[in-house]
Order: sequence, then C-alpha cells, then structure tokens
Amino acid sequence: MSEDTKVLVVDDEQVVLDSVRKHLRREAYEIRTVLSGTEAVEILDSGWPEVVITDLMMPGMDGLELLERVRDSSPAIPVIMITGYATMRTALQALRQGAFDYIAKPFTRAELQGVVIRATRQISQENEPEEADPDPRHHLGGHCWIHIEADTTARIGLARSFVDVVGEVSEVELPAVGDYLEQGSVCLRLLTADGRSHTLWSPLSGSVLELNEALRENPGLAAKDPFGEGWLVRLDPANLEEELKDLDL
Amino acid sequence: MKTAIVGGGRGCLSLIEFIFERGLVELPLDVQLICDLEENAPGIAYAAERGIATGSDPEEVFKLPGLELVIELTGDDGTAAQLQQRCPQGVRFMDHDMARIFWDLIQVQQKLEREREQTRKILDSIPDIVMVLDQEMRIQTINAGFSRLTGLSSAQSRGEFCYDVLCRRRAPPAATDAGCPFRKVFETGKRAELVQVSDHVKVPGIEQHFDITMTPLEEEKGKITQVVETLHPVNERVWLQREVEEAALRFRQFIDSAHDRISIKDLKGRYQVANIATAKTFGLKVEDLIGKTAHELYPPGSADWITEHDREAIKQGKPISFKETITLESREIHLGTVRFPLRDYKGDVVGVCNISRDITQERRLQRQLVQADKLAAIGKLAAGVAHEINNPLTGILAYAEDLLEDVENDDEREEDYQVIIRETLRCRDIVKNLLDFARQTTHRFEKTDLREVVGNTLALVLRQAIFRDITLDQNLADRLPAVSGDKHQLGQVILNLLVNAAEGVEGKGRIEISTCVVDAGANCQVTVADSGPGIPEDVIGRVFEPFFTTKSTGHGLGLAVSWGIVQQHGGRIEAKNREEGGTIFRMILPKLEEES
Repeated sequence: MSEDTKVLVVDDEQVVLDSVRKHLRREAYEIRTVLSGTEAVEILDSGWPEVVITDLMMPGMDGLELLERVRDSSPAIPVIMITGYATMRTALQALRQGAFDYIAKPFTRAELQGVVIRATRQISQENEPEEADPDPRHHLGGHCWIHIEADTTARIGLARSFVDVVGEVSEVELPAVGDYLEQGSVCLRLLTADGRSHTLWSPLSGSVLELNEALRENPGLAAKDPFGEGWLVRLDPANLEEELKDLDL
Repeated sequence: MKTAIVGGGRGCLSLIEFIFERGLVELPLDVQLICDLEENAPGIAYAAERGIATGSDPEEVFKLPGLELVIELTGDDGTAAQLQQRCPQGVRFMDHDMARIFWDLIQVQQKLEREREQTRKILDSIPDIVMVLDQEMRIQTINAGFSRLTGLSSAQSRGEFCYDVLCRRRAPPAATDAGCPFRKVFETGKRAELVQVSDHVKVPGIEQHFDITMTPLEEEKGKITQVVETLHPVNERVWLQREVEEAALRFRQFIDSAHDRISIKDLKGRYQVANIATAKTFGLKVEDLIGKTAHELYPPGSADWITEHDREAIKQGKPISFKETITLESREIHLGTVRFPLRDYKGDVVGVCNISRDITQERRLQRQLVQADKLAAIGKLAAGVAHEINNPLTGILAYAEDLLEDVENDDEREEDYQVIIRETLRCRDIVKNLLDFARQTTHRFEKTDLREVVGNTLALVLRQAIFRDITLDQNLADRLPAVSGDKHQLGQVILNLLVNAAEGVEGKGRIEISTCVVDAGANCQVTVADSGPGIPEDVIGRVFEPFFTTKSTGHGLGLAVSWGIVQQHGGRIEAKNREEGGTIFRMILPKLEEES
C-alpha cells in the first residue's frame, strides 16, 4: 500500500480523539477526527475514510447508528467501536451488526494499533474466496470459533478471518485454569512476529477448564492450524443458551 | 279382737291410751267395754271421753256379744280367779299378771321401735348416699341421701337392682369389673373403697363423682348376706382437680407453643420445667431434659455463665436481661434472655425462670442489610465512576505512552513515564473489577447438588500450580439435600475460597474442604479451612467488605463477590479463625424445599 490509510475517528470527547491521534501518529495513517456522528456522516458521504473508529455512546447519533450508515453506504469500510467496559454488551451487539471489532477504554497504544492494523490489512486483502471453517461452529464476529463439545464445554480457536490479518503468532498469553471470563471481556492476547499485540475477546462467559498447553511451546500453531492443533482454550460455559444468541452461527 | 277390760285404774288408762294413740300392731285390740266399781277411775274417765262403753258391774262384760278377750286389771287375784272361771268357752282371758308381762313386752318393743327410728334418722342425716344390698345387688334399705340422688322413695327402690338404678345398666357387672368391687366384697368379706369413680354413677344429664365404700355385713360369723354401699359425693374435689390439671395443661400448651426457649430450674440448677423449644435446642425430648443441669447440657464455658446468670437473677430478686451466645455443635446461637426468680405462695424464691429468644437470624439479617446497603451504594457509585473515568484514563495512557516513545536514551524520565503507564493500567484493572463486582449478573437457579459443584471446582483447582504443594483433605458427605442455585456462581464462590486458602498458606500447607448438613437438616454447608496464620481478629469481621484485603496482591473483591452470590442464594457465608490455627470459611445454603 503506497498511500496512508485514511482513518476517521468519532468521539464526543476531545481527549479521546487526541489520544487516538497520538497513538497512531507514527503509523502510516491519515487521521481526521470529529466530535459527532452527524459530522462523521458528512465525511463518510464524501467517500474519504477507509477505516472508521467510533465511540459507541454519543449524544445525538450514537455508534450503532453510525455503524448502520457505514454498513448501508460503504460496507467495505471496517468499523472499530470504542466502548467502555460497562457497555460491553452493546459492543457485542455492534459485532453482530457487522462492526469489525471493538476496543475498550482506556486502551493502550499496542491495543489500538493491533486492531487498526488488522482493519487496514483486511481492506488491502484481495477478495479471494476464504477457506471456509471446516465444520459448523459458532463465531464471535470475525474473531474466533466456538465448538460446543458433547459434554457442553466450549472449545475456542481463531477464526479464519482473524488468522488472515494477524500473520505469524509468536506468543499466546493464555488465561489461567479456573479463571472466570465474562463474555466480551479479554480472553487472551496474541503477540505476533511483526511486534503487534492483538486482543481476543471471550465469546462466552464461563470458567476456563483447559488450555492448549502445546501453544506454550509452539504458539504459531494458533494461526497455522486454527481448527485443529491450534485451538486455544476450553471453557465451561455459565450461560450458554442465552449467550449463543449474541453469536453468529 | 273384741275386748272388755275389768278394772279402770292407771294400768287400764295406760293400756287404752296406748291403743288409741299408737295401736298395737301385734295384737289388734278392739276395746268395747270397761268396767270398774269406781266411777271416777282414770281409765273409766278416759274411756268416756273416747266414747267407749263403761260399766260398774264386771258381769256386764260377759253380755257383750261376740266377746273374744277379757282383760283383768283390778290387780286383785280373787277377782281375777272369779272372772277366769266365769269366762265362757272360746273367750280368752288375761289376768293382771299376764297383762303386766304383756305390757312390759310392749314397752321393750316400743323402745326397739324408737331406737330403730333413731337409727333411721341418723342414717338419713348423713349427707352421703347409703344403701344396703343383698347378694343379688338388690336394694334393701336406703337413706334419704339415696332418695335425693335418685328421686326414688324407699318403697320405690326396694328390690331394684343397684346397677340398674345407679349405673344405668341392664346386667350386673362382671366379677372382674374394676369399676365395681361388689362381688369381691361379697366373696372376700373385705371392705372396698373406690376413690373417685368418675362417670360411674349417673343420673341422666349430670355427671357425678363419688367416693364409694362397700362394707360387707355379716348375719352371723362368716356369713355375709348384705353389703352396705355408701357414695360420698366428690364433685367439687374432682372439679378442683380438673381445674388444676387444666391449668397445668394450659401452661404446657402456652409454653410449648412459644418459639422462645422457656424453662424453670430449681435452686440447685436442675431443670424443673422446659418447653419444646428448649428441648429442641439439644435435640432432646422435654422429659429427658428434666432434672438435668446446665453442665450436663452445655459445653463447660457456656454452662458456667448460664449458672452465673441464674445466680445473678436470684441474687437481685428481679428480672434481668442478658445478651447471650451459646455454642452447640460448633453452631453459634445468639439469645436475648430474661432470667427472673420464681417465688412460691409465701414469696420465697424457689427457682429461676428463663425465657430466651433466638436472635441469631435477626442479628444476621441486620448485618446482611448493612452489608447489602453498603454494596448497593458501592455498585451504583462504581458504575458511575467507571463510566466517567474511562476517558481521562484513555488520555493519560495515550500521552504517557507518547512521551515514553519520544524519550532519548538514558533519559531518566523514561522510568517515570513507565510508572505513569503502569499505574494507569492499575486504575483500569480496579475499574474493571469494580464493574465486575457491581454488575447485576443474572442468576440461573436450578436444583443443584453442592457435592457436584465442589467436585467440579476441585477438578479445576487441582491443576493449578499454586496447589502443587498443598495437601487437600476432602471430607465430603455421601449425600446432601439439593439446594436451589446457580452452579457456576456457587462454583466461583468455592473456587474463590480455595484460592484464598491456598494464598493463605502461601502455597504450602493443608486445606480441608468439607460438605455436610447443618441446622437440623435445614441447610447445607460447605467449609474451606486452611492451616495458614489466620486473619487478625480485629479485621475478620470486614473480610467480606469490598476492597478489603490482607494480601499484598488482589483487589479485595473476591470475598465481597462471593458474599453477594451467597446472599442472593438466600444463604450466608462467614469467616472464623480456628482454635487450632488457620481460617475457616463457611458457606451455608438453605435446602431446596421440594414441591410435593
């Protein structure tokens, strides 16, 4: 990609806009920031942005509405939602409505850069038909697959679309067995060979039952064989029936 | 018998007075004529008054038609002899000597008659019911009391069967009938007493109570022909006794219906009275409690102060209130107790009463309310703060990371920036935990076997590195009643307690997890005990407060979250230091009430 990726950032608080700008300033991005959804729509209509980063909770037009506008007018533009920890459920809803990913405030540089780079890589990808996931599984957005095992525990691994944008995985920061994860909160982090860090959200609430210990020796498996040897964790879902409704089949 | 009397002296007067006034049952004399030479003889005068014929010539008596008897009362033997000779065939003759004897006989009989009359009066004067029965239980004699009771006169009752009249029975009672010793009395010749036969002697509509005595009467030595039965009415005594019994019963019902523990001890500290609630405390029956002392029922420590409190109430001679805590089978019971001296009718102190109200639940609820209020307030505050604080934190992180990226090598500010970033991330974690804590998570209540939850949690825990050098003792009940609960959340609580315990022993030591039924089967309990140093007593009451922690790591929310979960399950969780060292956490959940 020769030119800088054009990123539109929407938030009703200037400090957040400034923060995003600061975090991304060294990267190859051209950034414009606006304080409202209405202003964002104007820029959107001009056809300028390639990636949109928007706050979820805003007065006037909120993040979900803006997402809807982008999906309608320019479905190819990835939309990254900014959410507070308190509004995690809304973020999950945004994923279901086609958001690329979300990021929770307050975020670190690495967290923001990770998600934006994935979005950028997705738009630059040639639209060759993706390799379909091998068997019908549940997905959390373009993040991960969930396979409900016979004993109703849930095995989790990276989704093809995620693997395609992160590159080579150099380390997997796994949770601990016994940890209780809320749906939509941090499940694990992937460090990649290019020095990036990517957050994987937990697709279900539940206690961690088992980790793929093989990943400690060979983290690359997570991306190389995401549906087999590269699975990540096994959860004991706490509220499976209810939460599956928030996931795409 | 047509009779003529010769001689109208005093003897004659007495005789005819007697005849007229009393009549001679044994010898019905029809005196038709009295003769005497003396016209003014007292007998002649009396006869004249009564309209009996008189004469002066003894010959006249033989002219009397149908004459049957001549009585000579002149006292003169010659006259007597003449008259006897003169007496025609078929006419009887009695001279003055015979008359004398006859008179004396009458007198004796009269006396007997008077005495019998006297006896009858005495018999009648007895307020009791008296009757004499023959061998067949037929009534022979009765007194006035009998008539008053039955309404039957002497004539009406004579010959009636006693059981028919008094017991309303058609047939005589069997010899073995404990209610009627008649046969026995007859056979043994021994007197029998039936004290207070109730409902035995009946007059229609009225239940009466008597003390009955049956006394055999011997006609001659060894031959019993009759039995005297007396009935002494004891209605009032029975009623009084009934009242006493009813008062006792009322008292019993009264104290046994009370939820409070009520008991009376004597001056030696032995239980004299105890209600069911008291007995239940020890899992005993009331009767098993009576006679025991506090030292036989309570652990020594509790028994000592119970005795002391009793003494205090006796000493002060007035009711005294105490806040008391007893420990029974490792269960603490908090009581609000009033102890007061019990006095007899003279006003002397004879014992000590004790009314104890179980305020354990009340105390617990009160504490829970305070805790719940605190938590609710914190939750609201947390959500608000978290929302507001996210944007500034975003800014701090962005600017600090920016500065860090720009520092030259060897710039001492690099470390400062790193501190800013590290501490900002710490703020982020605190906010996250706070929100986890404040989040209104939905519960999925289902029929849950705590043993299963414990088993699952143990399976998770044992794989963790921190448990590698820990000995885990499991003391799990074979069976536990189900509870209504969210398996995952309860698992979280147990996990929390186990991880806490592991941290308490710093990865090396002993942890014991046990499950059992407590509170007389009403509740299920899971305990996690460790061999660690315990929690300082001055802060142990605060371990469930949010952000309270004794560890260098951790946010102090784990136990607060656990507390919230258990509370939402209608249970309770408590922490205590064990006497043998270490801490014990108890989670107690109510048994699921199965719908029948």
